[in-house]
Amino acid sequence: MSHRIPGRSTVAALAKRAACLAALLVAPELGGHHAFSSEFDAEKPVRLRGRITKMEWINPHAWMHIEVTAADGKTESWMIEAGPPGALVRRGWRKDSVKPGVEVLVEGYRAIDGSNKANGRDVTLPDGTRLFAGSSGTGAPYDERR
Amino acid sequence: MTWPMRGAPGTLAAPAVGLLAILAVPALLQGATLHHVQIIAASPTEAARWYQRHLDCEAIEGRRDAADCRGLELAFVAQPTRGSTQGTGLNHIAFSYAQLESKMGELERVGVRGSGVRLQRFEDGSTLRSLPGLFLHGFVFDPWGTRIELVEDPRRLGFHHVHLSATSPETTLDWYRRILGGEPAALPSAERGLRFGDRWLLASRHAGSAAPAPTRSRAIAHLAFEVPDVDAAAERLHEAGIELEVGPSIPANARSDAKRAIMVGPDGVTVALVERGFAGVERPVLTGEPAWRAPEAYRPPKTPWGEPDLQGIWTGNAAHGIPLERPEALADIEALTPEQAEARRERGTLGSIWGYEREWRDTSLGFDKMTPSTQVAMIFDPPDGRLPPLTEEGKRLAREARIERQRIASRPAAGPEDLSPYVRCITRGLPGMMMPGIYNNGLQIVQGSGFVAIQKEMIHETRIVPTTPRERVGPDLRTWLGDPLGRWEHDTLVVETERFNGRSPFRGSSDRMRLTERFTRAGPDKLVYEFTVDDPAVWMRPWSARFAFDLDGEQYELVEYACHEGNYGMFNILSGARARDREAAEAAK
Repeated sequence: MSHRIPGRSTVAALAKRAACLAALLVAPELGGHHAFSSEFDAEKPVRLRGRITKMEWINPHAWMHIEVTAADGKTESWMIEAGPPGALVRRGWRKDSVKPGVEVLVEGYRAIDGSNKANGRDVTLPDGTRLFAGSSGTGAPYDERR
Repeated sequence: MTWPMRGAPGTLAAPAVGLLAILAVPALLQGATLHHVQIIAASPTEAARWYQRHLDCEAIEGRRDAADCRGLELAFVAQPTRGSTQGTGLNHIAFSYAQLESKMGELERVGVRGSGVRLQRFEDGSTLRSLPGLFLHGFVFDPWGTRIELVEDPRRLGFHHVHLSATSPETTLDWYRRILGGEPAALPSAERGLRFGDRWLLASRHAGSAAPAPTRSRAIAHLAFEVPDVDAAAERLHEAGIELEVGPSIPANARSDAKRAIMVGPDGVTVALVERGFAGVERPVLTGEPAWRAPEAYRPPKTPWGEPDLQGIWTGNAAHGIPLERPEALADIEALTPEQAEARRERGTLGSIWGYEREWRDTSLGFDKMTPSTQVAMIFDPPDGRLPPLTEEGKRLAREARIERQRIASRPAAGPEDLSPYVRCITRGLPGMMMPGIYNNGLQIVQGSGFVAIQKEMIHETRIVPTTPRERVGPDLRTWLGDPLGRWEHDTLVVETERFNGRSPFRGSSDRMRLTERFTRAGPDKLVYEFTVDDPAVWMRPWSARFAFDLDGEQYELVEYACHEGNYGMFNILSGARARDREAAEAAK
């Protein structure tokens, strides 16, 4: 069923050893401005599809306000935590790319207090593209210009 | 959902009679087989490890940028990505497990934290569901956006299929069959597809009104087929009026002399043709020399009043991920290779990606213009790169700090006082505020005659350092960032700071810390930052560390840190704490 590659068990063993060494190389990741776990509930994933109503471009995190229409037709307002404003701009987000009315798909985790707030771990356009890819600005990761 | 819900149990290997019977014409290219799937991943070596660790793939000899995923080669390339596979014409790849519940349970336990494994839940919150007449299945994503279906199909374990998302599945499959061959076949439920040997290409109707997005620059960038002779294939395609995007050639830095050609198939799916033995390309070797080399060789520009000019916007992004202390496993290593440095950075990203997406950061590979530093550790004195032993008082302070941390962690925060000065928008202290984080690393230096102002975006501290001789403030005047005295030693700015209040310690430092910092321009774009911590109350001897900032004004601007106004985090943490209190009170009733 799977095609055999000569000497793979040795390779796998070597790879395993390399992975062990690699684990020792792991550096602690200096976290963001606050602890995710005391603000959002990793047990409460949310998936929201809504339209942007407002964007707050503030440090340490921008907040995106969206209006979500539930199956019964009722609308709900949600606040979505995004990245820091400077980083978003450097990634190609522009005022135009998050203007009111733009439809977004948000996947993230809900606030512990149960309010309509979530961190926006993934914010994409409905076709799955990253939000910046749809922007009218440079719209591209920095690397493409390097 | 892409699978139809009807049909009777049967065997996958049975070709569906009649469905595609009209397609009896021989294919343009004879003997084509599925060769690999190309995935864009920030660190190819980390991606290969991830697939080995989580999806039972195996290493391929001589390839750190690929994995043998139980019958399918996944080839990883480092390129900027524009999003996941979802929404493109190549929706997902699928693997089959004999015990899917146990596999999914394993992935769920590993979780997105620390691994980057993302589960896609169905509407009812479950990760698996049964397709009547077919099998159990579910979806996960890799950390780079590749959608992966996991199925329980005991007749065919390992790599199961590539699933296309087509405006017209019939037309799309007809294109593949006419050009590349494959045996028309279908799952028992009438899911349409082609068989290439024992590998499957399935196609479903694309959901939504828009056409599928092109695969270029998305997580799965292309699908590659092996043909005996790429030149001959190109000729036949040309005769048939099918244009290649990239003609037959051996790519630069290829590991073999096998040729490759590239075309765009239906629904924006990029299709590569490769010859037998194609093994990807070696990446050009980047030089990763330590940042502090030869600072004495560089004469920095001078301000109009004659002092060395350090002004500009600098960032410590390249230094992010360098541990303060040298890991014991790296005791004898002078520097990481650029590939190891890239892998170290990517592991850091995977360790925290569940909370902060890649484009939220300034330090994500694939977005960041900075090549990650190859420096092994920040501490260079003591020479072993480790913090010196603690004094008796240092041990006592560390013990007390640990007890206090445990006390605070043992219950939801009672009020702002239970949160760190960092969360409270006060400061990260010194030298903490100079340390590179995942974002907001901008460091702006502005000079006036006799003064240097050092501002850090996160979290808004501005240090005003006098560089002319003056007396220290009195010993009772103690502040968060202490009392700095600066001076110029040749072209180096030396800042000695004392009189800390001790409330924002760095690695256990006390209010008796004396911090000496040295800022040296080591080149037009490089600022070496060296600091010595002399805290006899805590450590048996002083210790020194360093890393470099890069001039980054071309793309970086500091954004105002209206820290309290923007600090929804504080509100959410405390309201979350009160919600936990209520839950506990309910449970106690």
